[in-house]
Amino acid sequence: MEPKQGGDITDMHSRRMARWTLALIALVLGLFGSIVICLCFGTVYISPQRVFEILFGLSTDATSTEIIIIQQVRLPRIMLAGVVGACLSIAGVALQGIFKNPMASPSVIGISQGAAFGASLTLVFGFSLASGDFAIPAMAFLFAMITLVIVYMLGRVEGYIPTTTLLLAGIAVGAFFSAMTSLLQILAAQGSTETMSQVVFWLMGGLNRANWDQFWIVLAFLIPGFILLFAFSRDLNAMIVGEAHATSLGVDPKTTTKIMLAGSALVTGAAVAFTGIIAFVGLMVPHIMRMVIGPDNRILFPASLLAGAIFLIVTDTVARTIMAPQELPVGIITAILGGPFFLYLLRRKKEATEW
Amino acid sequence: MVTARLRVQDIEFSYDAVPILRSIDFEAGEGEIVAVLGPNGSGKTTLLRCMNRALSPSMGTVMVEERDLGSLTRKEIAKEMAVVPQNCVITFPFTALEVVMMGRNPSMDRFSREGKEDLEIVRQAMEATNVTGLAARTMNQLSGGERQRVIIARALAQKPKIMLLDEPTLHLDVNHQMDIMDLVKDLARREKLTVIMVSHDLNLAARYCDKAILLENGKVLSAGPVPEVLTQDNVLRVFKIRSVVQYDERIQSYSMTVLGTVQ
Repeated sequence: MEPKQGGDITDMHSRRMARWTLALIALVLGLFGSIVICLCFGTVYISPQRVFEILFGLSTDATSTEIIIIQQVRLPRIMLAGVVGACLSIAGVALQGIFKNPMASPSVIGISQGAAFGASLTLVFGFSLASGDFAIPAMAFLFAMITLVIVYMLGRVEGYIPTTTLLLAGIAVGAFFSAMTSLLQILAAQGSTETMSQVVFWLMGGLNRANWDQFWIVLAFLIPGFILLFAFSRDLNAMIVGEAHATSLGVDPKTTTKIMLAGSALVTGAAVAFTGIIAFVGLMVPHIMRMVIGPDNRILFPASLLAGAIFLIVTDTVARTIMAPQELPVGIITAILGGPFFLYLLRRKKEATEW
Repeated sequence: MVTARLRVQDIEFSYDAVPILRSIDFEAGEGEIVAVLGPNGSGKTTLLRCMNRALSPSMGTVMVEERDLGSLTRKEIAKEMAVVPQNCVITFPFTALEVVMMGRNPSMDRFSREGKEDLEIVRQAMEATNVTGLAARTMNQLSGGERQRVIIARALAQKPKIMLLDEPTLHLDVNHQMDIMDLVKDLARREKLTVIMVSHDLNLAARYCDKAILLENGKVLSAGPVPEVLTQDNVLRVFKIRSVVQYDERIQSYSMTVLGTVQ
């Protein structure tokens, strides 16, 4: 698609703003639609109309079983999928921006693995920074942050982070924390039949343990995390052009970097704490949104938040229905989609001269 | 007494206890183009970065009119002084318009959007640099010279009094080097910008700049009008070449002829 030459600047700008608004409206509708449709599927099929009636408490001839299935089984899982997908996707936007690299994402560079290890520490040994409901996500956040700092320092060569060192550092750190997570789970379970399913849960990621509490906790991380990242989205734009450019534009590169790293660790930690490592969501969603709506982070953060929610809601529904009654961990589906996508990016990168 | 637009006073900067810049002192007026010259490692880029406080000098002040930049926030500095850095490789497909629009960043609140006035400033900046036709193109579709003009447009959109350029003609074909320098000269005169430009290219500096500052090992060896700075002795001492600077009627400016190296 060859972009139109010239044209009036004001026109171009207002067209761009209109596209942003349109995209957000479409994504909100899409999110709502995907929630309703995905609520229909499961061991028993419930019609969209009935789902709609149950959701909004309208008079309905739905049975009490159907109401329980929707409200207590499917809805919490779908809502958790939504917030987790949103968390991973906005973390992907932040990381791709700060690393100036479309290959970055929480799972690719090992942050999710670090978070999973932190969560496992709390689950197995019971200690954490925080107590109660926030114990697990707090540790996941701490270890996401530690991992991020390690990868950032390992990957940095003369002030910038080449793809090769970023990916290699990410692979090494990720593999290490995956192994440690598995080890912890195996030690803790001491040969019980649950051991392997625990390991698979953490390494492949799954939403099968979803409940309403988890949804609210993840949401409690997502909202401040999003506001933080979004507040610095224009600063991140300038950082993508280059650190010297950012300084010239009145942006402090160090502050922006810290905000982006902390914000993405915050939301990644929360997401991983209850669902394990769901890979590639944070890689694919920001990238696809960038192709649709452009690279400006002011739209990329909200658009990826919504699209990430839709993406994980749909893939999780596929994961729990495609081989029914057998459920697949959703991470299998996202990895089946994400692996080839990653290779496609790598290939394009090889062809492109710029990066 | 009229105070100069820009006064750099007694700047010192050290890196890991190694002094990089020592007692740098100079002034520049409205509409003036000043070249910062010197061999690699003489501290040219460091000086530029100290000036916009990307680096904090251990001593000295930079004054823009009566304001000490050291007492301003980054955003306030960005309204006084814009930088055109050396290289510009953008990973993601930002359009030229989006990049120029970033120039309004220092004047905007955190959550606000570009208003009518911002768009008008951007439009003028793009017209002045002749990049309006490139507005919809992404940065990596542009040639090096076009990209440089877009970055200069962004700097203009900051509405600064001072513009700092770091090797603006590096990696450009000779015709694009002239284009950029003609543009810079035109902007300096028309917009009354004070331009400080780091350059490797002595001939371009002689031709386009009003003044030059010659650095040697982080110290000012000589500062003043170009022919007084790029004397045979100075050039021989710093760059190890024999040369002569003459006024050339054909270009209505100075040009430098390199006569040879020393052995």
